[in-house]
Amino acid sequence: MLKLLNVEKQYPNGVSALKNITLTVEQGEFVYLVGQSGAGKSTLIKLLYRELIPTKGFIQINDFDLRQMKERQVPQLRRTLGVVFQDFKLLPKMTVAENIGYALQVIGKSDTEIETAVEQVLEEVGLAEQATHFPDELSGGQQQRVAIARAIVNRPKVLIADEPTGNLDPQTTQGIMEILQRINDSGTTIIMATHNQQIVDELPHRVIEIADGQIVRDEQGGQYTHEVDNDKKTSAR
Amino acid sequence: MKWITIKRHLRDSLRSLKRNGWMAFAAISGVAVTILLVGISLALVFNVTKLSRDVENDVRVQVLVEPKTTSKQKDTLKSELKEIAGVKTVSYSSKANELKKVVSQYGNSFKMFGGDDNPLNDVFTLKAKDPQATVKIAKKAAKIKHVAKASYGGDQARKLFRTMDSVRNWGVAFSVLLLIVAIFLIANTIRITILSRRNEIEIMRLVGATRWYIRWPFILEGAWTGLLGAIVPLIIIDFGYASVYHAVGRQLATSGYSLMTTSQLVWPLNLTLILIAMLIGAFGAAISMRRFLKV
Ligand SMILES: Nc1ncnc2c1ncn2[C@@H]1O[C@H](COP(=O)(O)OP(=O)(O)O)[C@@H](O)[C@H]1O
Ligand SMILES: [Mg+2]
Repeated sequence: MLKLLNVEKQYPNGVSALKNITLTVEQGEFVYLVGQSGAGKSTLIKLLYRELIPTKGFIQINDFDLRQMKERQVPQLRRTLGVVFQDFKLLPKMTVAENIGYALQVIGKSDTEIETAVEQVLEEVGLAEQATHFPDELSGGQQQRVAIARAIVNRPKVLIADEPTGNLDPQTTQGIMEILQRINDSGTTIIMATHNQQIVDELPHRVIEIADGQIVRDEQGGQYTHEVDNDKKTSAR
Repeated sequence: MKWITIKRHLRDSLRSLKRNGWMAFAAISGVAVTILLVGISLALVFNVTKLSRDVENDVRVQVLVEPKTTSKQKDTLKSELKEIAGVKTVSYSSKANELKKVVSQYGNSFKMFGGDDNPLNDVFTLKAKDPQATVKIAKKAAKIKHVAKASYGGDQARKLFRTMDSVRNWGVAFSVLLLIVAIFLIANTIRITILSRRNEIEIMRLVGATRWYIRWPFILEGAWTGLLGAIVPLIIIDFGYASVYHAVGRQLATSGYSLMTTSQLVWPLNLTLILIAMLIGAFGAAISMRRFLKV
C-alpha cells in the first residue's frame, strides 16, 4: 500500500513542483499519472522511490515511512520497488541476461538464484531468445522489455514507470502495455506516469491527473482527458 | 559479507585498476616514491631511537692519559680513578692498542703512525655504577693529575643525534608533502573510475544495493594502488638497509653501539609501510568518493 498526505516538493531553486498532494493506492491497483509536461509527474515518481525527499508531508510505501527513513535504509525500500524510465537505462557493455542479473547481483544474490530468476523473467517478457544479445542489438521496445524485466526480477510489490512508452511507436507501445497489464494481473501495483492519451483510453484504469503540481482529478477507469473537456473538443470539431 | 560478494568486489576493483592504465601507473609511482621516503625516514627514526636509548644506558667514561706519563704514575692514576665515587671498574688500553682499533676500522694507511709517531693516548675506561653518574665522574677525573681529557659516554653521540634529528625532520616534512601528492594521484584515478561507472552506480542505487556495496570496489582499488606502489620501495629499503647495516654497523662496533639488526628492523618496517601504503590508497579513494559518489 502507498499513502501520501499533504505532500509538497519545492526544488532548491524555489520551483514549487508539487503542492498538497494527498492520495492512497491499494496493493494491486493500476494507476495512470497524467498531466501536461511540467505538471509534476516525474517529481512525484521520484518522491516514491526516494530519489527526492518531500519538503513537507508524509509518504508511506510498503510499510516504509519515507519521512522517518534513514539514508542507509533506502536500499531496503528500493528492493521492494521496481522502477522503469523512458530511456531504459540499460548498461551497454552487458548482455540482456547480465543487465537483468546485475540487479540481483548487487543485492548479494547467488549465481544460481540469479540464473533461475533471469531465465524466468526473460520468458515473461518474451525475450528468452535475446538473452545473450547486447542492448544496441535490440529494438526500442525490446530494450524497454529488458528494463521491465530488470525492474521485476526481484518481484517488487510496486512497479513505478515514468513515461515508459515515451520513446516508442504505437505498435511497440501496445506490446509494453500488455506486459504491464500481465504484471499487474499477478498482483503487482503499477504506477505509471504518461501523457499518451491512446494508452489511457484503450486500457482503462484509475487516472490521477496533475496540473501545476496539484491533483485535479482522481477517477476510477477514467479517460485521459476529463469528459467535459472531451465534449468541448468534440463540439469544437 | 558473503564470499560471492567479496569475490565480485575483488574482481571489479582489479578490473578497473587495469582499465585505468597510465593513470593507475602514475598513482602507483606516486605511492612508490612516497613509501620509499617514508621508509627511509622511519628506518632513521627507529635507529635514532634505539641509539639514544643505548647512549642513555651507557655507563662508560673515557679517560685519556697525558703523553709521557710514566707507568708508575699511571698506576697511581689508576688507583685514584678507582677512588672516585660511583666508579665500578677501571680498565686500561695502551695507545698501541688504540691504534690497532683505528687501523681495523679505517684501514692500513694509519699503520704509519705506529711506534713513536703514534698520536693517540693511553686510555683508562671507567664503568659507572649507573649511567646518570657518568657526567660527574668525567668532571672529577678531568681534574686529576696526568689526565688529558675525560669524556663520558655519548657526548659525541649526542652531537650526532642533533644532525640526525634535523635530517629526520626534513625527511618527515618531505614525506608528508609526497604523501599528499600520492593521495591526490590516487583520488584522481578513483575519480575516473567513478565517472566511468556512473551508469552502473545509478542502477545499483536504483535496485537497492547498499551504500557499502557500492563503495567497496573503489576503496579496494585505492588499496591495491597503494599495495602495488609499496612493492618496489620495500625491496629497495630491505636490501639497502642490509648494506647500510654492514657498512655502518662495523664502524659503530668498536664504540659499543649498534644499529638495529636487519631482522629487527625489516619486518616491522615492511608491515608498517604496507599498512601506510594501503591507507594512503583507501584515503585517496575516500576523498573522491566524497566528492563524486553520491551514495
Ligand atoms: N531538478 C529540478 N530543479 C528545479 N526544478 C525542477 C527540477 N526538476 C523539475 N523541475 C521543475 O518542476 C516542475 C515539475 O517537473 P516534472 O516533475 O519533471 O514534470 P513532468 O514530469 O510532469 O513533466 C517543472 O516546472 C520543472 O521545471
Ligand atoms: Mg516527466
